[in-house]
Amino acid sequence: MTKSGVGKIVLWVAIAVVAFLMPQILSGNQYWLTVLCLLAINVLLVSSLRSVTLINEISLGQVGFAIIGAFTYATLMMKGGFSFWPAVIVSGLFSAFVALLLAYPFLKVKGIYFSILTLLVAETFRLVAFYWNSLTGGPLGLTGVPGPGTQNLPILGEIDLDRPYNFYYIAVAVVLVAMLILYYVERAYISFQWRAIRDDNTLAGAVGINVIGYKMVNFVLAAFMAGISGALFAGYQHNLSADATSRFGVTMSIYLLVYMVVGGKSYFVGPLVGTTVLTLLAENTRSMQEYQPMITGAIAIVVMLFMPAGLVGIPAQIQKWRRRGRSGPAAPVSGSGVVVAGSASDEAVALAHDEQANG
Amino acid sequence: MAMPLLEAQNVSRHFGGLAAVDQVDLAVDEGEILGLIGPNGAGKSTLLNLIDGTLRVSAGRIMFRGHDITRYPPHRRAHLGIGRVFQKNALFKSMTALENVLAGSYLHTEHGPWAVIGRSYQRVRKRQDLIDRSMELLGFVGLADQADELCTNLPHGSQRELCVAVALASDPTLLLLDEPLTGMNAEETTSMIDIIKKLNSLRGTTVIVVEHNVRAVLGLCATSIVLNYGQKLVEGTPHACVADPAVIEAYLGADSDVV
Repeated sequence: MTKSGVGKIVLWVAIAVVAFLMPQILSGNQYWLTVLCLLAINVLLVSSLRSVTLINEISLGQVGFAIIGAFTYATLMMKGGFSFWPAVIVSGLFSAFVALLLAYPFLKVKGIYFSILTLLVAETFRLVAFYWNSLTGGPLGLTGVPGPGTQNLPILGEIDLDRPYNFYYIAVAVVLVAMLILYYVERAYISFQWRAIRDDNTLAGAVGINVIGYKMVNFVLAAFMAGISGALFAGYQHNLSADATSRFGVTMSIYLLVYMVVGGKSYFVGPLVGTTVLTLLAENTRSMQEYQPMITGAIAIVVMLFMPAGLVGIPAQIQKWRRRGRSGPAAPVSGSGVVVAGSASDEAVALAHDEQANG
Repeated sequence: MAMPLLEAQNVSRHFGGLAAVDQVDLAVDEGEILGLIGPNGAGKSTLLNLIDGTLRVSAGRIMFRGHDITRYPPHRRAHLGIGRVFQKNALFKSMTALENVLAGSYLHTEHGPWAVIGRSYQRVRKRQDLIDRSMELLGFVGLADQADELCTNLPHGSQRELCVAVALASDPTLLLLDEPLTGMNAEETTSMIDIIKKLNSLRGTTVIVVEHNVRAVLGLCATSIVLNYGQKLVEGTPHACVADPAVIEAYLGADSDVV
């Protein structure tokens, strides 16, 4: 237990060091730094989607909150005279506020109805942005959205944070903090209530849990994170478009869902792994661009059929197979094989629970 | 005269044109076990749903300890002390028996906005007093040795007992039991009846029980109400109810039907 704990820490430190040195490793390669920035931003968006699955709902509207965040950020920076950090935070808060207004009626319905509502409202936000000429630039979109700009930092001195080389650190830092918040919340007592609601929301209400209230907290928090990711995107790209083919379209919602499922939606790091793997894969197959959706789709199908717990679930699954393989031949009576298999799968369930609990 | 613990005044619930519950009056005194019987579709479960807030009434008032709770959502009624065991085995599926009871103990833990965000899930779950209390409840329903079993792995009868333990975890004054004996064998039935008697006599919990098993109702309840087509047919001691010609007609049909 402690051995694997140490292993885990070593692994995380290694990942952190690599992530920190990435710009040097890539020797400032603009293209790959852009890919990594967008990757970090997407990881946050997918994590916000996963956060909603804690109450057993699938939100197809996270891009809707991202677009609100993005255009709020742009407006605050271009017309409101805000500086970078307050604008990012306020954008997230505004997304959360819009989510709060929608949360009650939305969360009164469940399952597919909730998904449809979120999908439609996201598309509505996009269309509003697409036609609201005076605020969002309409079909042409906005250009020249300022990023963090040149700032005078302690120790480092004057730094142009708009350069991908430097913005990379901002994106990673913001996403990291946001993920830590999500991680923390998932370990807090509130998440036990979410789990109770996810398991049986009528019973949760009957034992005194304010079902709609807890669901609203979850939804609003997820919208906040989506808003932050939208603001980061706007700050990085400097131009925004609400076109159907932009990253705020329905297709993107579906991709986010695929990223989450491929990574493993019951694991906190699932969105990170799923998004990273599929993004890197898409980048490496750029020469076959027209086949990319098919490749992604094929991978999603393979993962769903053979690894329902997602890529992060593979170690647990291998362990299960190994255990079954070990105990299988050793079983003295043929009849007890069933029992052994049963107990192995129980252990796997317990293991999955542990994994969930420990992250 | 003492105020009844729960009083339903003239409550109705319509589904479209159908009156599932039609102007029913009901009163339960503290410490009583009230039986609700009636043929299938008589509106018994609907009436329980109205009392615990799963459904809103179409007309009428529901008073609990003098509060008008007609418009309260289920969780606020739970705060006031109304517990519920559903007809299906409603349990927190991903949890063990012990965790189910811990989740049911929600009202017993600190649950203000800061407490739920500021405290770790594991720390609340590992609090010894909470675990002791939950184990005691599991012991009460006879499941102490299966505390770490995933609830969906328990046999049907034990799952129903666990449902009772989950409901008791919120310390209800009034417990609504919806057909606690369905699908149980003779042994399980006896043990469930014992549990209901015990929780009434030892914990002083008032119980409203909906049940098809008339013999069990005869053994359990001091008073019973017979519903038919959403209306109250008879109220009285179970023996008197069962002997009432109107009740016999509701269950078996009138003589004229036979001829």
